[in-house]
Amino acid sequence: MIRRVLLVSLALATTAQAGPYRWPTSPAGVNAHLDHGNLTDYACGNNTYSGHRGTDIGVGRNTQVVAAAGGTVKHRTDGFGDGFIGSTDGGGFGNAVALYHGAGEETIYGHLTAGTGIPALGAAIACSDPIGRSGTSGNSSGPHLHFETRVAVSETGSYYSGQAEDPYAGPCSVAVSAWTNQNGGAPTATCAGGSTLVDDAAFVADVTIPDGTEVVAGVPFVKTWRLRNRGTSTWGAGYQLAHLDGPDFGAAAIAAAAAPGAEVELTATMTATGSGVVRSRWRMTHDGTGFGEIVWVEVAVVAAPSTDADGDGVGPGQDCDDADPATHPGAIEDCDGVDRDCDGASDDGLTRACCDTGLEACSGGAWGACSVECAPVDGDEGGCCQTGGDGVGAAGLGGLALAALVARRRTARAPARV
Amino acid sequence: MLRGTALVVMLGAACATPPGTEATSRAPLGPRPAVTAATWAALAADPSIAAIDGDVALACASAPAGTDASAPRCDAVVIGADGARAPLGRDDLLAAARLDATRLVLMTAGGELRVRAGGVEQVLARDARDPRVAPDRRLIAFTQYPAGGGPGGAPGRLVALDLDRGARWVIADDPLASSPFPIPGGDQVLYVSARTGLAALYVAEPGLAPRQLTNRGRRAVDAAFVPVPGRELAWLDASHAVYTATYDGVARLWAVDVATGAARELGPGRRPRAVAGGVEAVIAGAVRVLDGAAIVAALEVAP
Repeated sequence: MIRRVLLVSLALATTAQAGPYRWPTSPAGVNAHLDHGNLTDYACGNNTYSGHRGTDIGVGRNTQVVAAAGGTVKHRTDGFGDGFIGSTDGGGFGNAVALYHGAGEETIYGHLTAGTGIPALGAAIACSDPIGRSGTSGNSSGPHLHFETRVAVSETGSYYSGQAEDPYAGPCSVAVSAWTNQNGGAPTATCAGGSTLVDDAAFVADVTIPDGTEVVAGVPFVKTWRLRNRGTSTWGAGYQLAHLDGPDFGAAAIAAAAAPGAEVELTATMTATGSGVVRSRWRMTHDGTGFGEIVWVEVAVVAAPSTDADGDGVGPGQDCDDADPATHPGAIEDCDGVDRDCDGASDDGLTRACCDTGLEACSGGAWGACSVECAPVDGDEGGCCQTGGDGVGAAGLGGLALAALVARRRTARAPARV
Repeated sequence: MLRGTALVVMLGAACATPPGTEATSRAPLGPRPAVTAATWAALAADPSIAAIDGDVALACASAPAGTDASAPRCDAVVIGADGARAPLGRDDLLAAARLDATRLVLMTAGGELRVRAGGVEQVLARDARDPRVAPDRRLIAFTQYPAGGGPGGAPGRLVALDLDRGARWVIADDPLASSPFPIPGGDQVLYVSARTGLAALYVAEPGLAPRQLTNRGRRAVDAAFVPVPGRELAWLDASHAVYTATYDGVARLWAVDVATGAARELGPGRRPRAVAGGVEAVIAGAVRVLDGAAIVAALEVAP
């Protein structure tokens, strides 16, 4: 008890208040606070462990981490994988950023995931700017963000000079909080200037061209990603999905517009060259600054076909059946249960005209009943004037050939008319 | 007991004497692991096994989720040929490895590097972290902090102990160096550093400047970035290693040539260990052998 009183007195007499800082990530609980000695946290509780110099925020993997205040990148490490307790990667912080805010004040963000937008050394960072995503690199037992505030840091010396200070004010800590709003122990995401807008993006799905899709060198393909605006800002002017690294496949940045929480599909026409498995990575940017999850298109590029076995003008790699000249991209679908146009679906909802004013639909490779009844003609046993899969009956070849041709269109694109 | 004590005295006496750089006898790699492939796969599937070195596993009861806590309650467990587990009965370890037939190397959560023989332990070093024993069991390499320090920003440095010669020297006086892996048969040590801001593999040799092997000229993670190892690395020979790179929860195997710096991804997998003719690794839950000659050949054409 006596010792605790002494600790409080010492804490109240410490250096000037740091910050103010905003909460540096999504709302989350604290797994461990700074240790004020004897396993005591700022509120004189025991949510800490011996010698802990920061605040362990319990966010899962790949949660956006943002700058708690404006500053300059004084230290950064990137490229480490998942860590473990006892790892000394990056001095124990794994992938980390230290932002110097001036006047000896600094914030450290540790255990980030590699390659998640960790800014370059010396970069100027504004409050709420993304600086990486959470992870478990370095000396870490699982995904979390180690957030550490330091004071009396040398502007030109080591990023780990000075000493750690608890941003939480409390009976066993400093008297004045370093948070812009400590909010009873759940600090808010309000910057010192009041802005709380955060740019963030999450990958949802590969709408087209999933990883490993085979494409032919020199043949354009259309890539579409679905992303979700996971931040609090509204995407519009200045927001783009931009090429990050790897080949750009000849595609330019894609403008993006989405309200917070909304999903958006972003599409580019690309053309690969060379051969082998190639990955092109892309990332959302706001006025040129990257944010959010990195997305990619990964294709297996094959050389342009040197032979076309079935002579239909499309060679291996694009032709889904290079032994059948009636099957290739662009071919006309038939009601035969076969994917003639290589789009992954057979029959494609075919319809055809019947009985002058009727319509019959293809299902499972066979034509169904006509939608209207009419008198039988020569040779017909049923109640309709034309039956059979070839569209040719006794009512006159010229008119029926036209009917069959029109019927081969997808009804969704062009309703059949005779 | 006597052997362990003698070792400590010997190391203490030679503490300030770095080894020369003359050629030393090349000891063969360690014996074929006594643990069977089936047991190896079972250990890999056991979430309580945090690491394994030969027949010595580090078994952890539980870890506090999402902290930098230094007390994950781990014990060393010796695995028998039949797969039986013999725990030491401790709960304060961060690392354990086989030193020789009768001795283990342990590291406590308090940072003490110890050698254990016949139930008796002697301290080799204090304020230490992340030790690794060479496959030929001659060198121990680890990170050492200033007195009373530990990971979490304090500047550490990499240190090597030569158990044959009783020497101790600084591998790399680099506060961002980590994960030292002694290269079999000599004084070289492979390690990781983020001194450029980006993690990369380096080789240190007494008397020579560190040599960067991978990610030269890079400053950010890009498509050509070569990942770095965590705990797991197996030596094919004195030049080629296979390691696990676990990023964002996904473990993949990589191979590196420490003479040329060439590196190549081998595919998904983890827990590599050296066996005759190559490396065994756990791939999709089963132990598979990766042909050493094929790996070396692939590295010869790797970028």
